[in-house]
Amino acid sequence: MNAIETNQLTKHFRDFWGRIHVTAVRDLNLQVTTGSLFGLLGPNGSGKTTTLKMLTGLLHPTGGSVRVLGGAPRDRATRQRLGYLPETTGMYPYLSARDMLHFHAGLFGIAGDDARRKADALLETVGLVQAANRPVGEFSQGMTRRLGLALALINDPELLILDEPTAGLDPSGCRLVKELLRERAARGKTVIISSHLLADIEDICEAVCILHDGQLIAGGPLREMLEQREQTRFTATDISPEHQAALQDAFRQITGQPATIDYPRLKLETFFDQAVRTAQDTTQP
Amino acid sequence: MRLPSSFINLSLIHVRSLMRNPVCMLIAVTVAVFTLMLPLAFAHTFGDSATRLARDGGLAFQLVAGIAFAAYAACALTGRGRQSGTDAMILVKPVSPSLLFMARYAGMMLVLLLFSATCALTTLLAQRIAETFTPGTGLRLDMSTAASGALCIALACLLGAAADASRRATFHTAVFCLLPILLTLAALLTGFYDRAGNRLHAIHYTLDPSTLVAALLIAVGLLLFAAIALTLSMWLTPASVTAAGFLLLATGLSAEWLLAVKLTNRAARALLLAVIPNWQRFWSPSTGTTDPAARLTGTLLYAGLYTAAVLILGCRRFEQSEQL
Repeated sequence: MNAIETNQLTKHFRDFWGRIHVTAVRDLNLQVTTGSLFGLLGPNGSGKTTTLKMLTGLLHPTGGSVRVLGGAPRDRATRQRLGYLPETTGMYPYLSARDMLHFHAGLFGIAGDDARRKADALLETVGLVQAANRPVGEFSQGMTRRLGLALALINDPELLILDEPTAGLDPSGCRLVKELLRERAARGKTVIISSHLLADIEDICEAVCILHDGQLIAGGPLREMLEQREQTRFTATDISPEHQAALQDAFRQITGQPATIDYPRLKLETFFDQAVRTAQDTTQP
Repeated sequence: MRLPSSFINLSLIHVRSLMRNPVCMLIAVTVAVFTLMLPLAFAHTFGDSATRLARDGGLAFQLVAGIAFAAYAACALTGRGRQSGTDAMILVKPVSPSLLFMARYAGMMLVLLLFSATCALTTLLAQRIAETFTPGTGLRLDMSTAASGALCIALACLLGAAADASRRATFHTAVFCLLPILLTLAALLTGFYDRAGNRLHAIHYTLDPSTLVAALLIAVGLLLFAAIALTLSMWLTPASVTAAGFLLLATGLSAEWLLAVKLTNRAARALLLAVIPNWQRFWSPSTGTTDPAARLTGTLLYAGLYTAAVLILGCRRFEQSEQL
């Protein structure tokens, strides 16, 4: 079953005189399977944010149709099951993080102890417990983003739509977001992410689509799209230089082709994370 | 139960947004100070008519500053919601645009009523300050009432600063809320104070309550204008909304005269009089009216129907709007 289906989805922006000024999205056909982690990619101005806003009902399509969780995006029932983190996280600067969560919980009819419990759990999840009672106006960009993510999760949505979720986050924040999204997908929830950070998308998404100038230019399961079937890789642990040379000789004798041997590299994100954790362990009394 | 609680939550958040806005506090304090100073300008020059002039001057301040206040508040709420993305964050939740629009109006309404209370109470005090109360020694200003009014403003600012320092509230919010409370205390003390006997007289209240009714009528007019400003703010910039407000005020004030002179068709005249907001209805002359109760009921009915029509238009517009 598809969490999202668009058919010939089109969006024109018009000028004051009603003339078409920009066509942001053109005849977009998109299917996102329920329970998948889906990435929406594209250069600046390719129509990613416009597409996400049409999926959330914040913009009206000029043409075509869109179904979200089986209903129209503006339906109350659809919105009850939807979570959205926009590109700009709109906050009331004088409210604390906890108050913001309570306020948004109230919009879903979650109140009292239930709201408090959910707010506390989400503050813990996004790492903002220490700053829970500080006014949001004093938050850094990364902290605001974390809080925005918590706000999008307040109703435990079946479909989570995130526009540049890792923008402004430090590496540990990025890792947290990715773990959180993987955990949601494991629970059968659907996640759609739009991002410029291809490494993040590659890390977590199962399927992607690439937009250019408002049109879909490529899409499908990420593994199939990136797999290079003309090359083969063996992985082994702790092989001495003598054995490596012997293996290369044997490979050449069997296949008639030379083989390249090198050492796998850690991702910089993993290395950074390990270094920070080590530093934290050593500085803690 | 969800709808009322969402509505209350959204309304209160807009009340807080406005009260934390320094411009709103500045307008309220400025009107209070100027209204209290009106007797200085009138009392010695105009003699017995100074009381009436102080009253009408205070009410005029309330109307004109209230229009600027409402226009600014509408644009601040609409513009900020759109630009900061708070509207988008709310509208992806199960909240209809109409509910958000109405909650925004309710928030503005509460703040405007507080503002009007400040204006009405200072007008009441100004009227007392300008009153002649010792005919034997000639005209003089009631300096004790003037001092109590000035003290209220100073005290509101001091307490506001203390609240800000202790981080319980911001200066602007505290001053905005404290002003009507302190002025109410001052109006009560002054009203029950017997100047001739130089003592408090608990039974006989001496301030003119009809001023409060006149201020209430203006407040109702301001609420009508707030609905117009909130609807216009979806199309226009803040400066244009304020300009449109004063244009509407001018048109509304002259509508009866203009239409009576220029338009002979009675049906067309009646239609135009219904469409152009008739501010004359909200201005209660200090000379009094023949039937104040009927006038009050008629005005409230007119304002209620007009405001409802404008709000329906605003809701429809907001339903169709997009969060770019």
